[in-house]
Amino acid sequence: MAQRMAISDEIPAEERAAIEATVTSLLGSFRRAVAAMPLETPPAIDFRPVDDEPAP
Amino acid sequence: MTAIEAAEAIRARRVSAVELTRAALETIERHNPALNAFITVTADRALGQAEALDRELASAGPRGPLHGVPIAHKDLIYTAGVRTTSGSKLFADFVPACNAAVVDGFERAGAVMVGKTNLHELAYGITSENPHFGAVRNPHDPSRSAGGSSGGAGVAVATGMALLATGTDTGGSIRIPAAWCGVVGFKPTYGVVSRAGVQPLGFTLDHIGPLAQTVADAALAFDVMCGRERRELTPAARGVRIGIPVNFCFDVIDAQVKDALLGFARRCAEAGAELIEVRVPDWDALNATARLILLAEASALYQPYLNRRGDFGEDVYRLLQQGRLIPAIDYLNAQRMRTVFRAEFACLFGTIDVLLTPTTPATAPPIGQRNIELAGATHDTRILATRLMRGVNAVGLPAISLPCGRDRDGLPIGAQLIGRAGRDARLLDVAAALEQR
Repeated sequence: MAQRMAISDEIPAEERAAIEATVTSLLGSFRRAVAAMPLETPPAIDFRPVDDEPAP
Repeated sequence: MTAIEAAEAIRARRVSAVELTRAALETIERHNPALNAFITVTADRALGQAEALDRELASAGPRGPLHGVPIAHKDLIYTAGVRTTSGSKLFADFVPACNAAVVDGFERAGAVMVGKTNLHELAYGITSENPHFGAVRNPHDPSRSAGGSSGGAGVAVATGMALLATGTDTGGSIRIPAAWCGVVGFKPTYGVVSRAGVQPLGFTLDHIGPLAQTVADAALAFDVMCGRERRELTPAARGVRIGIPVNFCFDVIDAQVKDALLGFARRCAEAGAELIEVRVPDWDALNATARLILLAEASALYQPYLNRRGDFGEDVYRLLQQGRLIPAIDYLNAQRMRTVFRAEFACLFGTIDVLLTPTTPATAPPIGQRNIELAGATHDTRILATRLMRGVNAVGLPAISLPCGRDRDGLPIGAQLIGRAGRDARLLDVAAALEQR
């Protein structure tokens, strides 16, 4: 329900449904991958500039 | 003439900056009406700049390694006093007060800006079919896409309207137009080139880099963009370990593109490179991670403008609506997944120097074509074109697209070489050895 409210009302219902379906599909495949991620994995929101630094 | 050849000719006084700038402007005048590579042409400013550089050369010598060389900036890179639209109606009249850091770098190097190149609206797409400034057309077949989002940059370099161009790449936006226009496109390691003064799209995915005729030109432009001294390339193919993926990268691909890539790999081996079959990480999951991050970040950025639907093209507006549906938990988990993939790619690069993939699984599609038939299935053009692109942005690795052949219609095919994080110089050396093979 919260997701439906997030899409602009200006968009026709059919198109809203298509947008929701696209995102639902993406989230589905993504969450399957996340399920195997180790719990202690930290986010990598900001890579440092790594010029000439060995890769981790 | 390449950018390096042009700079040498100017330094040797065989040609002047004004003559080269006039030639570039004449090429723009001849081709731009049909190809639409530029949103703004800065002819008077460029000629004034070139005249000043000619005087400076006579009195004080060359200012830098690109003294008098005509270049173009993508129109989301801020240029002081010159309109910077980001290909959007929202910013159609925006005139920055100051330059982006990379623009300052090119000015210090002595380059002459001839204009601002057209792009996919807000850099959020790969066709450069811009609803506000018109579609950029492919120089090899104007009925086809030039790629994007840096489409105008690809066309400008391919036709000689500019000898170098800047681009940005959030999910393939330098490499795709490079491949489809038949030029070199380099996306450096994440964070190496300053993004100051560049309109963002995905805060943690955006990269700045050059499009050029040759790897040597791209390497020089990269040095300029980083604000450091020019480094001479040391091309060497012998002993280079090239990873050839046995999974994912060649699974969905046009037969002609695959043949071109395999031929390229064979020629690399003949030049002394070692081909090593490798399994790549779960690239489907990596792509999902990158898509999810971009959807959320772009929508966060443009949320304040989403009540102005008429100011957006349909495709970009739809993507921005999609992004509003991404839960925070999934966005954060996507950022955690990047950590996993970075480690997996670092492990992969323990056994190889570069990874070879196609840049795009198919050559440039006709303008307006939303789907591509391939391997017995129908694929969304944007998703297919970014299949081997956007994941590389998520792991921040340097990658370069090189021309490696043509299909039966004469359309260029691109090969992508991906390097280790921070080893941009090594990747450029390898690419220089392998280009034209």
